[in-house]
Amino acid sequence: MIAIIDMSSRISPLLTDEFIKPVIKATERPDIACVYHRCEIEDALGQNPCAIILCGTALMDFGYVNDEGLRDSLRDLDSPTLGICAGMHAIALARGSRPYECAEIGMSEIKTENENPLFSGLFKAYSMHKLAVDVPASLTLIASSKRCPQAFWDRGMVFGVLFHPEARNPQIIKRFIDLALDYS
Amino acid sequence: MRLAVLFSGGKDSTVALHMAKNTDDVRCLVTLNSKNEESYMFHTQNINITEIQAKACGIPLISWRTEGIKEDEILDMKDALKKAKELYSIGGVVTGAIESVYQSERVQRVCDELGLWCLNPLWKTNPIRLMQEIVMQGYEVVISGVYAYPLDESWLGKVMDMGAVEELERLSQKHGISPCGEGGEIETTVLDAPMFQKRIRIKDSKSEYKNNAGRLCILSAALEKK
Repeated sequence: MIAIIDMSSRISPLLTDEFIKPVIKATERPDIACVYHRCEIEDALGQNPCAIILCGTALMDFGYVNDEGLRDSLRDLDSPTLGICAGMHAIALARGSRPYECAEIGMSEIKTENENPLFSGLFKAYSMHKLAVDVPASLTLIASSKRCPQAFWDRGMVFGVLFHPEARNPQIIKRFIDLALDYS
Repeated sequence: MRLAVLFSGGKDSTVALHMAKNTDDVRCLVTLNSKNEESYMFHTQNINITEIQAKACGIPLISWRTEGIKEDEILDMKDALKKAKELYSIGGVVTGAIESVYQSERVQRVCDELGLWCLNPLWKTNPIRLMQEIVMQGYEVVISGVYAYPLDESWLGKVMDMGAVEELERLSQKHGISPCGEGGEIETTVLDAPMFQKRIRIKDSKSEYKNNAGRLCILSAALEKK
């Protein structure tokens, strides 16, 4: 099972349609995707998912920043996990990083900083965030834009990307799922 | 949440309105009435019909004039949404964006500046499946503009039914056009939708077509009982 985590503060079909469904589509495995809200993350982890994707949420939505339960659940997580935007923030916050203001809305140029299994080279991606995070010491920076860190990796199976790969780079999500399925 | 819907009168913004109305409190529609038919941002085809569409679904409309000058029209949109916020205390804006990053990022920026949520429930949706849903849910949608080969004059005024959807899918596979028209290949006008209390009847129209581009101009329309 792939656990798709809804990071939004308001449970709304409008947000699900925008932030969850495109990610499920990009996995190319909707048959094994199961959606949980972030307040249900322990239930999701209890199902031993083969992959976890922490989705993004709306630009105005910062509720996850103060979600201590989520932070506790993610602190020692080493199962295959991909955090997208708010999801990336959540992984970093759980490992001691702090968010700071850094807005990028639109297409950004992303530069790969370190070799990794998800992407390489220079590419464009859709960004929609008002916060960024510094890469925690336990993680490796793998991509950046001119403004801020754009992706990290724990050199195991935990990844975070600040841009929204479901918009213009769905192959990154598919690649993560392929790695996770091989790993399990 | 109290919402405004950015409304062009075409199928995508009407479906987005329908979705928002099912879950939230839609307080008004906002239409940007652009003088520039080449606008990158706003649908211009039969834009005046949004007034009658708003009456059909019983929701107030803010129709805001814009010269349609690139990037200045974004400031006009900001003024229109600011007005919606003042008049209706909205907390968010819904759009019918499916693929266009150009449109989406501009609406996101404006909403952010105004402290409004921006919601895009059709984002990345499958365009063929969307059109099939539109037909199955009983929408009455006509093709009111065609702007790409091989869409010819015969498409103007055509009602979108399953046959038309299949043909658009075939043409998109063969010629690479966006089947939902997000690249501006087709424009649509909604005459009836599940949340319309009355349907719209076109009383008079004329078609113009030249050099692989044409439009159906609705000259007169009226509401009638469903």
